[in-house]
Amino acid sequence: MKVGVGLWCLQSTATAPRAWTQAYAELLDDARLTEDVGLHSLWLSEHHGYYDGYCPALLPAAAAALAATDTLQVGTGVLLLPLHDTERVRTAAAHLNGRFNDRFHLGMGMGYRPTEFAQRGLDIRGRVKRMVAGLDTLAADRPGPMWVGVTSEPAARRAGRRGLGLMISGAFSKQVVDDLIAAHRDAWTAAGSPGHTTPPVGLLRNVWVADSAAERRQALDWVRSSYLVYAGLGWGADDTGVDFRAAIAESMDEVEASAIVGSADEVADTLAGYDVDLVVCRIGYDEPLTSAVREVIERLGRDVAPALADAGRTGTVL
Amino acid sequence: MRLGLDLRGHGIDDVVEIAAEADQLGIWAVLVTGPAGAETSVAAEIAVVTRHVHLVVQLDPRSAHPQALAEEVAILDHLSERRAIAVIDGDAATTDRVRRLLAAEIVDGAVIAPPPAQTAVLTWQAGELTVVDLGDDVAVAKQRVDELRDRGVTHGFGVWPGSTAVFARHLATRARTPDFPDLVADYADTIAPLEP
Repeated sequence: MKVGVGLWCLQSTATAPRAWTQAYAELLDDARLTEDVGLHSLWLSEHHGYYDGYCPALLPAAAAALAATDTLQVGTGVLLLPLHDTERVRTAAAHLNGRFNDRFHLGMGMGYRPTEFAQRGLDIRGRVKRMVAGLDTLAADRPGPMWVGVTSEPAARRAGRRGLGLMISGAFSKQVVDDLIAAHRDAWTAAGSPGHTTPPVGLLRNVWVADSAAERRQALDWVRSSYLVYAGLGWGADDTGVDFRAAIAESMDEVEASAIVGSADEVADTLAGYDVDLVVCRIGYDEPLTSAVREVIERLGRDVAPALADAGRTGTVL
Repeated sequence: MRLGLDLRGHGIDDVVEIAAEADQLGIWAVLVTGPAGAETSVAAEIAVVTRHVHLVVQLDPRSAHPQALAEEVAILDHLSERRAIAVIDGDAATTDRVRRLLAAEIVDGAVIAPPPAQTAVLTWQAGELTVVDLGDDVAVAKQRVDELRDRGVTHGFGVWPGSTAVFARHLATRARTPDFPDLVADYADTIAPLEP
């Protein structure tokens, strides 16, 4: 399996305020480092109109990261397709892949915040219809590598039926991950194997490489507090099935339990148990110093990725 | 008058190369665009290889929400460290909405976050741009620049097929003030000849 890093959200949060211009400059430095240490990819993430400036325009950010590197793959994890005009997304993806040697990966999701749809003049109740129509258009044209971010089996089947890659988000148990992979594969097979090449499977996981007990505890605290970002985003959403405000402590426990924190060997051993082509190590937490993030990027490239070269799935071209 | 280069008619490879030259030569701005949806991706690539030149990006608003356009420009402004200028190739109302969003105003319930790095981003309607075809003869180009300058134009863009260095030495210079002494540019060609 390949190893990438994510999610670069380019925020300035209440916990860790900073200049956004600094965040975007650091994105380019981080991309160069990620490439230098031999990792597969760097992934960006999107939201709109949130106080911390969570990146709302992934395509120019991806263009800059691609321009700053030579071989690194850069992906959107995920671009909220129903909020965009599909044709503009298709055109931009084709441009980036034409310009940068097929190094741009278009990961797509539906979005869940009603305010983001309302600000675009859209009704969130139409998001599935818009998502399906957009995926159909893009799957027919295939402007480069494409992934669908999923949290449910219907969404996994949606990706599989169209021969699109599967990107499994965050904090699921291994059993849920395996079920999503099976749903994706079964749907692809049942649809007659569209695209003719087995669509890849990616897994996003909260990860940190740390040796001492104190460092591990610190990393787990960062993972827990990072949930605050998503709780804040979710408070405005009333149809996710999650009461973010009431469930903060419980959700933080779940996120911590699913995090993979340990020595390089321990991280590699755990990740090796997943039947995926790509793991995106989520290290873009709110609190760590830039130097700490960069040290983990180096350790993932130097110690973890080589140990996973023959693990999981290895036949899919990414 | 500030005189920039209109690169909208060039292929993407040339655009990036000329923009990098313009950056090195102190040219105020380059005017660029791209396929609808990829305009700011083109400009973002240029932002990475330049440090000083302003990036004037022309956007097609026909299939994009004004918030989406303003968000893209805001991110370009951060990537370029305050060098973004927007041109909206649409009607006045759409241009005004993008302009107000980029000034951090809440417009029809929409807001952009992050706001741009600049306090506000210059946002022009495409029809407001002053663009002049300078031809391919320096003597003719000089006359056309002088005409623009003497009309009181403050910001203009030239379509120039010649070398960027010639543009910087002979055209951008004379645009700045009404009393440009031709002697200095002509003599510069003697003491620091430009590559053919």
